[in-house]
Amino acid sequence: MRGPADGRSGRGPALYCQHLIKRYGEGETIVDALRGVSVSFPRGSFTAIMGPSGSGKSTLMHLLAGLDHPTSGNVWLDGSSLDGLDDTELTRLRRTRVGFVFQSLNLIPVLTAEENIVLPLRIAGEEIDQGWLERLLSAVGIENRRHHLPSELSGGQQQRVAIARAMMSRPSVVFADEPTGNLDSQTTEVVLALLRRAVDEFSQTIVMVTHDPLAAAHADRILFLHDGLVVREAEGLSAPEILDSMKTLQLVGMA
Amino acid sequence: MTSYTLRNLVARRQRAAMTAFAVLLGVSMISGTYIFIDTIHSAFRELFSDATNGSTVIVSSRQDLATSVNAPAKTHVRLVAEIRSLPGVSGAEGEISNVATIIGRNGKPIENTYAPTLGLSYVPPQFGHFTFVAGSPPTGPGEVVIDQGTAEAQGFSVGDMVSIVTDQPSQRFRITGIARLGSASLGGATFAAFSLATAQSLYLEAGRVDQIAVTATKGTSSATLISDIRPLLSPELVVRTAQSQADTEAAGIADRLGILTDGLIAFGFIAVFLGAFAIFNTFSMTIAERTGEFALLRAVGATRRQILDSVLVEAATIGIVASLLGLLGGLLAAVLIRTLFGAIGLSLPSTGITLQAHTAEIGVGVGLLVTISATLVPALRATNVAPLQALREHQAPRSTSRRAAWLQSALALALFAAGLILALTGSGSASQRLTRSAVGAGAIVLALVVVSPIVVKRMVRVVGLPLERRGRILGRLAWENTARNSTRTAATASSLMIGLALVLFVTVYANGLRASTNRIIDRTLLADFTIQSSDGTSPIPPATVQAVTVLPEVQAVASLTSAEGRLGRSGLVTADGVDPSTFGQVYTFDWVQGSDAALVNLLPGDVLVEQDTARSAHLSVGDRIPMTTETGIQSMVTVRGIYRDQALLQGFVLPSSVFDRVFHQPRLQDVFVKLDPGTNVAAAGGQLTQALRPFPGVVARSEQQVKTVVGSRVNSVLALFYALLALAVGMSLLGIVNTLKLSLHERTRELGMLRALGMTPGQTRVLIRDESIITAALGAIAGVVLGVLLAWIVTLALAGDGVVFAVPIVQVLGLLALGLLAGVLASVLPARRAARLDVLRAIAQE
Repeated sequence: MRGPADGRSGRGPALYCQHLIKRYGEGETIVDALRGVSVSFPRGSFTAIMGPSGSGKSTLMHLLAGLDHPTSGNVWLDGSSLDGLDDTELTRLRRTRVGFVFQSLNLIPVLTAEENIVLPLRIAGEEIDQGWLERLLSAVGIENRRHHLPSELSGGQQQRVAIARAMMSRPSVVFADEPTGNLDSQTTEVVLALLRRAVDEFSQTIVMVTHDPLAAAHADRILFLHDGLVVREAEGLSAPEILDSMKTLQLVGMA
Repeated sequence: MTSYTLRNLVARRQRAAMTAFAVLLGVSMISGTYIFIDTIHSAFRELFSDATNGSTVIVSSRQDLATSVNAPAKTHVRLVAEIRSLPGVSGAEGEISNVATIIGRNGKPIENTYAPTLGLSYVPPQFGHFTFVAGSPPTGPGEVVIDQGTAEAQGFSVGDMVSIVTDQPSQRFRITGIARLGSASLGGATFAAFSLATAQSLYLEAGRVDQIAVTATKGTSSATLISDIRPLLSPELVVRTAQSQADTEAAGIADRLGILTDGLIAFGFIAVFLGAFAIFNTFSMTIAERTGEFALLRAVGATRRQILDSVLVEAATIGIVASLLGLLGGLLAAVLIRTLFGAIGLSLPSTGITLQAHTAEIGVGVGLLVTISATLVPALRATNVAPLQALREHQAPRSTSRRAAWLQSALALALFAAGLILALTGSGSASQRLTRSAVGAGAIVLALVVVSPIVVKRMVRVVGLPLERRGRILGRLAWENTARNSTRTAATASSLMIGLALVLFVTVYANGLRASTNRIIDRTLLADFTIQSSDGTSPIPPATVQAVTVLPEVQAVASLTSAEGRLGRSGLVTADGVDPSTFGQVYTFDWVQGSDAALVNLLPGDVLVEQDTARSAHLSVGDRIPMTTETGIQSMVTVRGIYRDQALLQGFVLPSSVFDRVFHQPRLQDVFVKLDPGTNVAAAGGQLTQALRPFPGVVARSEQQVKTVVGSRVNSVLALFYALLALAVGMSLLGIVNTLKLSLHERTRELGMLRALGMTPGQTRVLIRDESIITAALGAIAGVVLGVLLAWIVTLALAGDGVVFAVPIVQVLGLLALGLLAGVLASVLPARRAARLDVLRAIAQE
């Protein structure tokens, strides 16, 4: 199955999905985590997915990133369908077309910062683009800490290394799962600014899951999820507007 | 706190089970050995007391020295009559107890490698020996009663004819009855019983008996009987109650199994020791995992002491439960050991399993002690958890401080040096030096264990290098992960190291021993053929000498008789009787002191002493010392020469004229045959075989065959050791599995992240397998180095005895391969589990 636009350099959206449904359990204990979600993520866009716990925002990210299979519906990454790919094929896809930034413990403790950045490419057995590596190292501002172990880096520095790693393979999409969840407010600002720059300077497509209105305010567009459905989509909101929006949607307090 | 401890155990069932398993195996081995020994002991006791029940007291040859050569002093039948005439005696019966060879249906002698076939005289039922299954007692010449086991195995029944070799060439006898000795089910005890007169003539003992069974009249106590009989006896004879006679004989048998059972117990302890590494690792990890929990407990008011107690109670509970299960396992192990003994040709009598209190005490005691001591360090670490650590999210792995590393290195160096010095500076007999170097070897092993965490850090990289080149980043990750917790890796590898080192050590040592016996035989044996008992227990009838001497090609024949005795302050050693006038033609002494003239001029009262015996008894030429026979008879002898031979003439040599008089051992050990120069050896061999046809239990062996037989004796013991060591290596394999599983559990999130970043399940498997291989390779390399080192030390200590040191390259490579294979095998299950990891759940785990 092919999407409307083929190829990595195509003009179509970097990522989109149609009628995603994810159902867990069976019989009495059945839970619908996603109840039919269709979204599109244009190239070079920065999208925040917001919603309270249990809204399905993490599930959505896992399906979009090829970490899990939907019960029904389909995901197109770079124009290719993820439907029918087995575990190994999905893994290969993740290596090169997807980047990840997790909330914490992002890095392999026994490898240096630089080694962590090139790890996915090394695992894939692909060539390292030294020039790109240098650019990324300077962009995230850790050139002079490249040979340090994660334990010798601050939390913010660790997240910056994680962002560089996520972008190293020039992926179609970078997924960030609560990337600032464990950081203080000042460091949070640095990390979010970095993500913003990745979008602006390198046209990186970023999908970020968060429940922090301040973090979401850095995105171009915000998707509000509730009970497994996208309940609102908005662009260019400020933090107070996001908070208002969440209040309106009666999402606050459940977060 | 107690309920907390117990809930923890239940919650961490799997961990507890893994720890318990290590203890269980070790305790099984130790208790299994004790059960085995006790069972054998009681079986033999039952056997011997059944054989003597009915009799009140037994008059027999004094056996002051626990000797394996049961050669009784002869007793004149006159004594039987004298005892019969004593008041209080209701009956006395002389008995012959010797050895025989029964010829099977296929014309070949029935071989028993452990216990010889007994050649007995029949005694009437009031003395209680024989229980008839069929037929009746033998009454005249040409009649025999054989044991049930042989009859069943060979399909003999009453009325059949059977050929039996005694001290006479093979003769045919009619089976008048089939019987058992006593009521015990006899495994391995085969016999042929003749009438007393027949037995006396077969064994050239006319008018003499080997022992006398005596029954008392009603109302006469055995004590009275003993004090009445004692004045009638010559100093070489002794009178005992039937029960104590049975005990003595059973103890003699148990002693003979001593070396093997000591080995088994040693391996049990080694297994427990190896298990300690697994316990240490498991506890260290569970405690590291629970750091947050301990901190929380401390925060809510638990004292250090309470935390320590909690962990120790946990360990003790596991220790006790595992040890008790180990006792059950011991019952199984006892059966296995018996099977193992059977496999190498030692079939033993079977009665019920004997479980004595000391088995339980030692088994549970050792299990508990090991568990608690292996837990002590991790437990103390648990008490150092500060309450504040509950709030901290992640704890970096503890790295050993510089000072601790220095201390470790210094301690290891000291142990190593002490071990080396101890091992290399021994003096005295081979066994004394061997013991010393064994203790030294133990210290060296400990030194390596102490220093292993430091060495592992450096070695991991070297070992991992080939993997890094091949698997690039995965290989790198594999060795980094292995080096991450060097203490844990070291403990895991150490147990493999010790197992493999022992395998290699035993191999190198046995090879050295074999090479040295071959060299001794090459150097000393002039005979072209050596006539030996085909199975090592069947007698060589004296008539064989006559039978081969008459052959035209034969230049010289000389025989050797062997018994056991003491020389001066020596231990129990072999005493060999030779004819000084002929022996020099078949054997040339490898002199340390003295010359061939010493043999030619060997007079009654002279001895030649093997170097090792001379060393242990501090003897040199010219010394005059007492020689003690097995019956306790002492006479003064003079040392005339000292020679080297650990193969054929261990102990000491004396003229056969004296030997025959003081050692009651008429049976020949070896008959050496030297051919005329220029004779076709193969043809002469055929002639010899032809001449020996009437003696089915004996064979003529060429020099090469003699070497093979000596070597195969080493081999069968080696096989047993290998079987046990395989168990030890198997245990270290379980240790690797255990460590991998726990370390994977710790790294669940990290693995999930790697999977998310694009590591395929296949790559995950490779990563885990590589980690396992690195650990195993470390253990294997260290094991090989240690094994060669130990073998070198021990051979150096025994260099004077001609034990040669040679590194068996094939075996070394084989062991390395085996180690790596162990690594691959150990990783199969953990790797599969890691590959099947649920990525989402793993990432979600904090």
